[in-house]
Amino acid sequence: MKRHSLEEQPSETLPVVSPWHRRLGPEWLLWGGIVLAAGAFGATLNLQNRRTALEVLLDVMVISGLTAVPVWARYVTGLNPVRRLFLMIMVGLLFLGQFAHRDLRLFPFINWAMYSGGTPGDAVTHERIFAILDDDSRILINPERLFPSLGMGTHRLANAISQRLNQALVEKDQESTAAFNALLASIFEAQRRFGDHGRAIRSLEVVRVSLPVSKKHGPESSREIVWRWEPS
Amino acid sequence: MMRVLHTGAPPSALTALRVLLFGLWFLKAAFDPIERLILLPSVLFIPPFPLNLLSDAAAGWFAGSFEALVSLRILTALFALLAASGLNIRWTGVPACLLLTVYQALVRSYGHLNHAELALLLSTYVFVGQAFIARTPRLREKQAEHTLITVTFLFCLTYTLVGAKRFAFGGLDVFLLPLMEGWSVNMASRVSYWDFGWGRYAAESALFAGMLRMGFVVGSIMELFAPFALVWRPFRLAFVAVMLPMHAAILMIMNIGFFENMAMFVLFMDMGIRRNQSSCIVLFDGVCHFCNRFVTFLQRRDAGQQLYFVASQSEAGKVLMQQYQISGEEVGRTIYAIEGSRAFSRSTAVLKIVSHLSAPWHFMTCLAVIPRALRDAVYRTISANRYRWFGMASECRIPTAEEKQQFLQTLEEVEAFRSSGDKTPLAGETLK
Repeated sequence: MKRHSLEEQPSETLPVVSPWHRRLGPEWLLWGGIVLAAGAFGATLNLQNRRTALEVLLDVMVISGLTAVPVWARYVTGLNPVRRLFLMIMVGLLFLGQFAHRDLRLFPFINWAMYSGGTPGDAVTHERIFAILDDDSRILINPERLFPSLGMGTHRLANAISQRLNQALVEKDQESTAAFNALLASIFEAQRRFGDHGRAIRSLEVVRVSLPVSKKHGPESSREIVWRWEPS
Repeated sequence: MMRVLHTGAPPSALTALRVLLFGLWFLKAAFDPIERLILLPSVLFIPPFPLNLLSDAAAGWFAGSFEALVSLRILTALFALLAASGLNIRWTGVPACLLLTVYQALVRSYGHLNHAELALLLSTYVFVGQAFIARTPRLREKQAEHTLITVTFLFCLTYTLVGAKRFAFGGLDVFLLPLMEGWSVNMASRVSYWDFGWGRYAAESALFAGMLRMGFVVGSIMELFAPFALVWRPFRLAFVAVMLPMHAAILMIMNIGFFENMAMFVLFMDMGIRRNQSSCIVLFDGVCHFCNRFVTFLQRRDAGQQLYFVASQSEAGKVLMQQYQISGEEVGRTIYAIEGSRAFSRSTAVLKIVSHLSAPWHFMTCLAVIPRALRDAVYRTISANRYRWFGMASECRIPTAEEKQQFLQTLEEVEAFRSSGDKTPLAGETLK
């Protein structure tokens, strides 16, 4: 079998071999740089954290993997510098928000964390607020419907109620108690104005409900009145 | 063959995205009674940027002032509406973005984030930013394509951030331990805005709990690799097939609605693809105002110039009716789409016709999944009342000089169209 040296091969049949970083696409370095820079921004808190390092690694892996796809690399490298810069800034801000852990300062570039951890238990608890009417009957109040800005599609208000109640029950100081009472007063007022039952409310009662995660193996469900509030 | 999603997207796709983004914000601002937030105690109010730039007193006044919140609501709705209507997006989009940021910061001040709203907000920033870039004439080229790709990429990246965080911080425990069941039972049992509460079944059925965990794993993997939906069609289809039902399931199971995310899934429909490459003759009632308006609508959106129009009252119309054995009575009741040797009528004709249009209009072809009897019933209702609702012209539509290229009027023009084959565009001069 005749072997051709490279010199003998016609030039058009020469395999085009580009450096490895070009084959991956030059942009991946930049993407990776952005992720690392953003990660480093939060270094004071997180870089020594093994889990944060893993998170950065996963992000770099996905972005550089995408950039290794020739059509995407071509698209990004073919972008006008202004458009590319805009894209970089937006991506950079997203990562900055993710790793800087300063939601209040970088809003709306925030930490995207949803259901990424927790402590399993046999039971879960939440709170329910009941209105006690003049005839001693009780109706369940739906705070999320009273404040749709917060409640529609989220559990913002329910979380605030739980958090404030826990603070008031654990710390038992005047400030926490006043804060939770102020929240109940708001709910009372909103229910009076926007609630649909049209009957006078005498007081509010907060009931903590505990439910088993599994009915076969878990504990019995329970209810306990943990707070009472009356308008002054 | 791999291609980047939305490559070659037409300007109409940009319009659709603009209407989607600002339309959703308009609806939110119009129907969300944010002024009720003044009832909440100031102790709950912890403002993020940009409200934290204000002094405590000023921020407190803003959050507690009915007038300020109503003004914010009205202005947000107004600017979102103006931006959605396309009225100078650079002038309306920036105030809209500023107002939306304040609106979102206000809501955020009272508690947990709504990630779906934030994905929409970031997409709105990108849209307005791209509009600013396109201010320079040399950067105006392919604006629709670049805007759609950037918005989709960043939207996907938000999923990646969620997925990476979950895998890094949750590890295997988050999938193996009964956390998902706990969250589902708890969220479903809480008093929520929505009350579907299917999550309660997780406590009763091991099968349901197992399905939840499996869905959580699959959804998390999809989230992590979301940006690949931009370049790899099979993954994109799988992503939509998993994530869209997953968002719906989260609403049903945990009473949490990712409505904005679900609406933004239209971004995964490739706006750069033209569905139908063949030519089509539209045989319509030339004296009907409604039909004439529809024809004008089609002309404006037929970027590939594949549609040719024939009024049933014209000479060409009569020839086609004879050839396709369409009675005069019938053509008065329905529009016809003629593709090759086949003539389609009623709603099927409309769907055939819109399949020739540029994005997003050609996506209406998905309405073909509705049974024909139902579609035709709607069509018949409109058809039967079209003269009464929209009026009738005394004579047949005469095409203007610009329209003549797409209108066939005489027997010769029809024959020339036939002999030129489907793919040859018609030019008035070459016909005669």
